[in-house]
Amino acid sequence: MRRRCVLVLVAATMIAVLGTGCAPVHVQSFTERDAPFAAARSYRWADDGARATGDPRLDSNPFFERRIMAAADAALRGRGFERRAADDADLVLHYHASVSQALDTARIDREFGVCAQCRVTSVYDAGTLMLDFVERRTNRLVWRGWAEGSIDGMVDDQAWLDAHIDRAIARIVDSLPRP
Amino acid sequence: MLRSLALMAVLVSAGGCATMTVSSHVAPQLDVRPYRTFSWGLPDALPAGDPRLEENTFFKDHIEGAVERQLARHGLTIVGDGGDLQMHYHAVITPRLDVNRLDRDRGACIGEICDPPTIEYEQGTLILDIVDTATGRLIWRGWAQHAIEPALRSRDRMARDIEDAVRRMLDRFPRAL
Repeated sequence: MRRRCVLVLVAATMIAVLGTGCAPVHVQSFTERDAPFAAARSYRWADDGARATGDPRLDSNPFFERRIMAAADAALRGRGFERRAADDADLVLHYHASVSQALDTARIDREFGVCAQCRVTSVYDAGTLMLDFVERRTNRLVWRGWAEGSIDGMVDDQAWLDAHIDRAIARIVDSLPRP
Repeated sequence: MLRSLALMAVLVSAGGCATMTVSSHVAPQLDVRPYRTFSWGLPDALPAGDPRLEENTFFKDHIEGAVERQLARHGLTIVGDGGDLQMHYHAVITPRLDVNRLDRDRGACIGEICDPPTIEYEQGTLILDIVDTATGRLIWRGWAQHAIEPALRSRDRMARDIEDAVRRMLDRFPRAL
């Protein structure tokens, strides 16, 4: 049993080192019934002011904020949406980002399916990125898409964080209903 | 008995094994050559910091002294106001969880259950923002994160941690070629 535990612990260390590079990102979305996506093709960004994220490194961090907005603009352009600065856009786009710690008590069990008594608890930074489309005319939330997953170590690596934002936002936007 | 001793060793060493994490974000294609002077800026738009640090004159004096020394190494001179760059700092304390990884890292597994203890601690985050005075835009943000309790108990430790944090942060600030 001891040898088995040690093997699993070695595997756990390898996963801790390597695993975050391919940590799964879960993407989901919600679309309001009768959402006007057939007709609505333009949007503007909401002016939400300073945003608290739960991580002081990202609070009021313009590099982080601009990356999210640039990634969303690029992905939405690919879906045929036009960004406008004026107030006559069909939709108003909001984003929210939050970071909190999460505990995973059975990751190794899950991934290896072995060692019932040899659980390895891990703590990681879980991040959620959320985009909201609000219909300008009615001020009604018509679509919400979000991505969540581990961002352990990413905030400390700007290039890695940027790449993660790009991928997450692309997948969120991909979940928009197609007209 | 063996298990108790090992657990005690883990708990005793837990506070000391946490290492300081230092990193930064920088504006793309930043050219620092035009910058020659800096001054301390007004409070920034970040959420309110922790009063145990931000209302602590010892902390403030050491931060400002360390920043001024390190920026001098970059060839930047402090001026009363109107410097090319404005410096802001911000200190936050947040409760955090960690898992003691000694067992896992050393491959040891006491008894048949190998679930390391979860530890609660307070993490201090020191953020240093550098703003281009002419444009008002943030050009660089550095931070250091560390278990704060030892520094709150000892001024010597706080002074050492501040010096270390600021030096390592500003080592990451781009240098003029």
